[in-house]
Amino acid sequence: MSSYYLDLLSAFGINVLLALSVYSPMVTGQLSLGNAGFMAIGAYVSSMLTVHLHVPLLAALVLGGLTSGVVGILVGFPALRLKGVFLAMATLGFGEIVRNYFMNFLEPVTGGAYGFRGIGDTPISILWIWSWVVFFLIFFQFLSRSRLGLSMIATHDDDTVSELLGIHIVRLKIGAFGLGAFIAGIAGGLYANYYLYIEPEFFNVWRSIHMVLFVIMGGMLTFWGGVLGAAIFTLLPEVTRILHDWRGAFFGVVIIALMIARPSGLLTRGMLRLNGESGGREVKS
Amino acid sequence: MTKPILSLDRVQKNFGGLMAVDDLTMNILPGQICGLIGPNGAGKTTVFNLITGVHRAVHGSIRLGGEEITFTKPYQITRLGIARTFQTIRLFPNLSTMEHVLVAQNCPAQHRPQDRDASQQTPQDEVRGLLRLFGLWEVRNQKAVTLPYGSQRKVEMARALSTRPRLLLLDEPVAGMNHRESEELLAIISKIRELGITVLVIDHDMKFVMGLCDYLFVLDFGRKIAEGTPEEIRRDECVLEAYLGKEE
Amino acid sequence: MFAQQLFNGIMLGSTYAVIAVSFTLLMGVLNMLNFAIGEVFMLGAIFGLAFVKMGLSIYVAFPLAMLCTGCVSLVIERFSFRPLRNAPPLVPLLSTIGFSILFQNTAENIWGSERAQFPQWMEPASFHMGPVLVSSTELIILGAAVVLVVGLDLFVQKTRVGRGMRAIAENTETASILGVDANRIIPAAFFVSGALAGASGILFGLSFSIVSPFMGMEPGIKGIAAMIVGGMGNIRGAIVGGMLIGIIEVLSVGYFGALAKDFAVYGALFLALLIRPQGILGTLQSERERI
Repeated sequence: MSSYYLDLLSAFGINVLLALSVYSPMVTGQLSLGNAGFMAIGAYVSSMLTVHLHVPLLAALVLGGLTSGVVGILVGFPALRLKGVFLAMATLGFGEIVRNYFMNFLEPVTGGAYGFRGIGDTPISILWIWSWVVFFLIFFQFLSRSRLGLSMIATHDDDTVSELLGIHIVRLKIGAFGLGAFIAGIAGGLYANYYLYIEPEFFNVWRSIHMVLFVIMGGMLTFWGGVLGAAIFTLLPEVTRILHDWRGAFFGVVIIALMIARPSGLLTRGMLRLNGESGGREVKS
Repeated sequence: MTKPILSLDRVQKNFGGLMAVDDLTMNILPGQICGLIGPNGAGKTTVFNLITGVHRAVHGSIRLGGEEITFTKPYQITRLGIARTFQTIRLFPNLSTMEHVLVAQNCPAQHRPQDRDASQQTPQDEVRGLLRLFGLWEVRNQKAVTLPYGSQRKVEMARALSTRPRLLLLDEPVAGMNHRESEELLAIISKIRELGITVLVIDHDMKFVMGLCDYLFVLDFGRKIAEGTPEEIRRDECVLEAYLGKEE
Repeated sequence: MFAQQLFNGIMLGSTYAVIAVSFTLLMGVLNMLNFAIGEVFMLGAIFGLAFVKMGLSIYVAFPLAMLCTGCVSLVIERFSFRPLRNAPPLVPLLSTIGFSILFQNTAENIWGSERAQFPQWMEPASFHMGPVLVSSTELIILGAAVVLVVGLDLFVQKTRVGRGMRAIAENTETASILGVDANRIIPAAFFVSGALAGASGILFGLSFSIVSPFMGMEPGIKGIAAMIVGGMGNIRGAIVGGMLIGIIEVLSVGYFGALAKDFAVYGALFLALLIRPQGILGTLQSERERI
């Protein structure tokens, strides 16, 4: 396979992970506009570990992800008090703070605003990326058919009533938030080790917004939605070459139209319901 | 003398300067179907909110089976065995009928009287049982919010029952239903009683309430003005006065 | 030194105040966060500069650009608000993000990515006001900002349309019973919001000699931050918030260097959301669950 297609599929894989990282909090009703920050944490932590401490790659990736995840949980606590727009803005602010941090501090170790070069000698193979993707897809498949997955959607729909039904919305929301951060961190680490260069400017608000758009376009209440959205965003631009520089405007219009016509995104839970099962149990007549 | 399953003792609640519930004492015996009636604004829903921990009583105490629950948080209330439905239907827009019942099964088994036999049932059996009881089996995979109004109310009740409560609070369960539907619901609630669940109902439909309940509490302006069996209440002067012109 | 920084902070803060008011107007009246306001801000500067380049005086270009951005805002109302009135609140927000992307990309393509600046529009003259060195252009810009926000405050308090907006902000149903025509007032709110955002963009462009398709992103976010810090839906709060954010930004750069700038601003936003989400002047809407 030519390197062009490899690059494309790798980018697609990372975008799928990023979409999943947004999906996790979104399905519990939390919109995060700061996941680029978590991606950055994972990217920088894992790179510092591999380059300066010669930690083996897998361990570094996981540690990067865990660092992001822990930060995510810490942010998740105060975030509980915020709803909707407030939460979105807080996460946006958080993402910017993280970006700024890597821009201004740790320069001797990470190159600061000039970027972190030479993360490894050769890029990781695409299999690295896609094994993680497959792992998380399987994870979410199990989650979505479980009682826990159902509780998440219930929390998204109405957290007050969910709480009254005995669902632990605090644990769910924080857990979902932390999970999203973890996945974004893994994606960041993979990104760093594939492109071998990262800079703070990359992990900006638009990056966070793009990830959110994957999920919004593809479908907000099923994890496959994010996959579809990532596919559209990664693969379609190549297809829409003719649009050239106007791709942005095109996507803008698509989003506007989509919000009017089909606000929950392209894929819905109903579409993916196979012969009437739900909650992972077949309740026989 | 049986111990009450729910007792409110001189409970008081104000919102700012407004006294919503004033010196209210109520005792509900296990297995009863009780009604809480009164004109609009009498404070009935506030009472529900106080019992379920949504509001905090300023004065007085609320006890469930002897246990103090005055300051218990809403999600803990459910674990203790109280479930409720709402005046305005609050279903989950993205869940099917069956999923509503499934998701409420989170609650660990509660102190239901027949738990000895009930433990034979698998969770799937319970779901099936509830759906069939309410006649919702056919629509189990439909998104609950797409069902007709009467069915939506049933889904709400089935969901509440799925938490295996010992006390069920129903807030205007037949609002908006036609006669046939209310009759249907009346039969279902009677069946619920057979499961050993105590029921407290708020409603304006006098026929429904009188036909259903063993015992009634009448509120007006936050105060209890009468209590007794339906026959006693029908004849009570204060009640008639409060309701002048309001009875259907 | 401190006084000078403070003054600079007030200058910056005044442009933030105008854009914050633009955000908070829609937030207060319609409970809607219009993410595209940052780009409308940018379009204001772009239009303004285009008109000036066409030969118009800045004093004509300014209101003309405001008119244009007001109209742009009406387009947003038509597609991000009207059809989505009953959608969950995040949907209109996402739609305005779409507009944001659309505007920025379009501006980039039509205008080009280089930064430009407003040509000199008056004889520069500086003088001392106490310890502070002030230029006449700065004073005029500050004055314009003051006029705009005071004007808006009066508009909302005294005019029929303004009162209509406040009525809708209180309670849409009651407002219609009282004869407030939402179908006219709401587009008016959008128009005013857009005009203000555009004005803020021109003021910013004049103050800091930057006009580019990318100039709206940061001020947009800071405008939202200012709105939140000051109290959402509260016009005076937005003014206070804008000034505060501007002052914080300038002071932190002055004392801690350019690195600290964004930290200070986003840190303030974060803290505000944690400690007092309703903002300085906002009141906590009793989040009584309507059960």
